[in-house]
Parts: sequence; C-alpha cells; structure tokens
Amino acid sequence: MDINLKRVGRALIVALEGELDLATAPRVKDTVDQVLARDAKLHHLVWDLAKVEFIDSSGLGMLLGRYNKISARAGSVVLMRPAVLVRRMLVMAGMGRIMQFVDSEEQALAKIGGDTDGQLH
Amino acid sequence: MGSSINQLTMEFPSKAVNIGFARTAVAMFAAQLDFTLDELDEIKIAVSEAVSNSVIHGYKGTEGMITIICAVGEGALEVQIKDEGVGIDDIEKAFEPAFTTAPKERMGLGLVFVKEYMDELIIDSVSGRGTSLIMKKSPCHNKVEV
Repeated sequence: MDINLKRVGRALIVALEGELDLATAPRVKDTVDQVLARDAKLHHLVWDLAKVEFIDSSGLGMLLGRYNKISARAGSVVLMRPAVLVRRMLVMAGMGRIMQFVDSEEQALAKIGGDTDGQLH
Repeated sequence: MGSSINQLTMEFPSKAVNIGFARTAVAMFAAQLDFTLDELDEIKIAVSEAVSNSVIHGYKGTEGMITIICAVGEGALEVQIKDEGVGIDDIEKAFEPAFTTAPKERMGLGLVFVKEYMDELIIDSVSGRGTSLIMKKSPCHNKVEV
C-alpha cells in the first residue's frame, strides 16, 4: 500500500494505492494519525481512492475511525474518485451518509467550504 | 462438495499478510467457472472477510492455522474456511450489522458482506474448538429466476 500525503491549507489529502485490508489498514491509520496529532490545525481529510483496487470491512473501519477524529475537530471528510467496487462497498457501509463523494481535488476543496487558508503546501 | 470436478486446499498461519494471497488464490480458482469480473471481486471480498474473522476473532491475535478448501462442480463454487480458534458463542448475533466482539474500529459488517455477496452461507462453530464457514456461489447467468 503506497500512501502519499499532501496538505492544502487546513485539509490533509491522502492518496492511497493498492489494497486496503487488515494487513494494510493499520499502516494507513498510523501514518494519518501521526500527521493529525502533530498538526491541530488540520480540520479536513480528503481520501483520494482512485488507485485503491480493493477494500473490505477492515479498510472501511479504518476510514470510519479517521472520520471520528476529524468530526471531533468539527471538520469534514471527503471521498475522492473511488472505483466502482470500492464505491459500492463504501455505500453499503453507509459512508455516503456521513462523507461526501467527489470526482476531483477541486470539488473536494469546494466541498470543505474553501477552508484552505489559500495556501498550497 | 460431493461431486466436485476440481478442488484446491490451502493451509496458512493466521497472519494478516496472508489475507490478500488467500482471496486472490480463491478468485483465480473460481475463474474456471464463468463468473463475471464483478462476481470474482465479490468472492474476493467474501474470502477476505471470512479469513479476517479467523485472524481477528478466531485466534484473537495469537497464531493458529487457517484452512481453505475450494471446490467447483455442477456450475457452482464452494469455499470452506476453517480455523481452530475460540469459536463463535452466538452465531445469530454475529450476523447482526455493527455487532463485533473486537475492540475499536471494527464495523461488524464482515459476515453481512459475506451474506450479501455469496448465494449461500453455512456457519458451524463450537465454542473453544473453532469455526467452519462454508459459502457457495454460482455465476449469475447460471441462476434461474423463479
């Protein structure tokens, strides 16, 4: 599982590549949690899922756990470009009721209310 | 499966790293039937959930062996996943969405996904002696609408 992180203002964009299951979800969790713990100004999380080929309930549980952390900061979580199978799993798990689906980074940043401080990092 | 025409048996330790191998191997074996790519993905999810359950709930972080027996015959796939872990105390409750005995960040949807994506699911579990999960699936074009 490849994990790429980018900060845009108060949003953390996490691009994942590979399969998200019990073997890989803990590393994603630890990586994202470390960044969130270091920077209390991060309020929003954008998951770029375009290159995630597989997800099961272990991956979904990890996403839900990070949603709970971001909610505690009164922020939003956005799901970007999931493939058909991954999107189906996210919808079945009810993620669509608490997170928004978008097709691009621009849409993602618009969904979180342009709350980016106008900075690109 | 009594009249199977092909069979595969795998045995591996209950390490999370083996889950990806298990689901891929079962999907490759299943591909000898006329499953669509979507159906093969559904089989992968079901196997991933079942093996994850053995790792997380069956052995609870300790190491034991997981056995998978796959068979094809009469146009259907049958997959049995067995562990010798702690077993399931209340099978009915295990099927309830959001029910989990595992700590933190588990959604309790594993068996819900298995039921959703496979045609048939049979669970046999004895507390303290392990769990056997048998799931069956036929390619969609083999199914007859009644």
